[in-house]
Amino acid sequence: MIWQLELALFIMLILVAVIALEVRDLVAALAALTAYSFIAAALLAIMGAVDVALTEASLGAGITGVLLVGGISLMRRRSVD
Amino acid sequence: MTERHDSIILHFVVRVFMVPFIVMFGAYVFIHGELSPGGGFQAGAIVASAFVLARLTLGTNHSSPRIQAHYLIWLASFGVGIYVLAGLIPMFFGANFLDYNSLPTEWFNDIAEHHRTARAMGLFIVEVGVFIAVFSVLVTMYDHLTFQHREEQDD
Repeated sequence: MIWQLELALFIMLILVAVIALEVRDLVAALAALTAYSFIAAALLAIMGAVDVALTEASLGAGITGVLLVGGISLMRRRSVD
Repeated sequence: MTERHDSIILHFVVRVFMVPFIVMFGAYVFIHGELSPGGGFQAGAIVASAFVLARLTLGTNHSSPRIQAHYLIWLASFGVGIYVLAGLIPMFFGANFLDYNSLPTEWFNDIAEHHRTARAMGLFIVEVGVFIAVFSVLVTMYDHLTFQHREEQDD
């Protein structure tokens, strides 16, 4: 497809993954992780794996975010390492 | 995460627009899973996200239908049981495990107008089992994660 779009999505994917690893606030890290899942779903759809993209968008960007927010609400919000 | 929010706009949008649309989209993904992208797993995740959305905004105790976690576990086991039965029934007709070709589905073709092969019927039965199992397990995970909040709320 359009290789510029694919390159931009890949750069955003790596950027968002680094943000999710480095940020202290766990909710912000979770938002970055959800964005990562969504960009990965877009990349998979571009590469023709629409079935995998649908799974990634519904599970990675949908349910996982809510479940991890529920997990964070049971503990401290900031990471200590 | 389980208390009821007070915004009437939120209630209206979620109850009238979002939850029915998400459930309908999940049904579309489920039914067209053989021809287009989708299937039981994705449809179960989508319908479960509609239920979780209702529980987030309307509150777990007010969201309808009220399915308790105890029954959801039974529902998940029921979905797995459908899958296992679809695998075991061909073994009684002299075929291998999960060999849909020898499922006894001729009676269904007599009732319904259109013809479906036994393989397509077996795939559909397995998809139904996967759908029920994935949906109920995801809603159960949300209920168990927010169990502590509900305890505090009840006090």
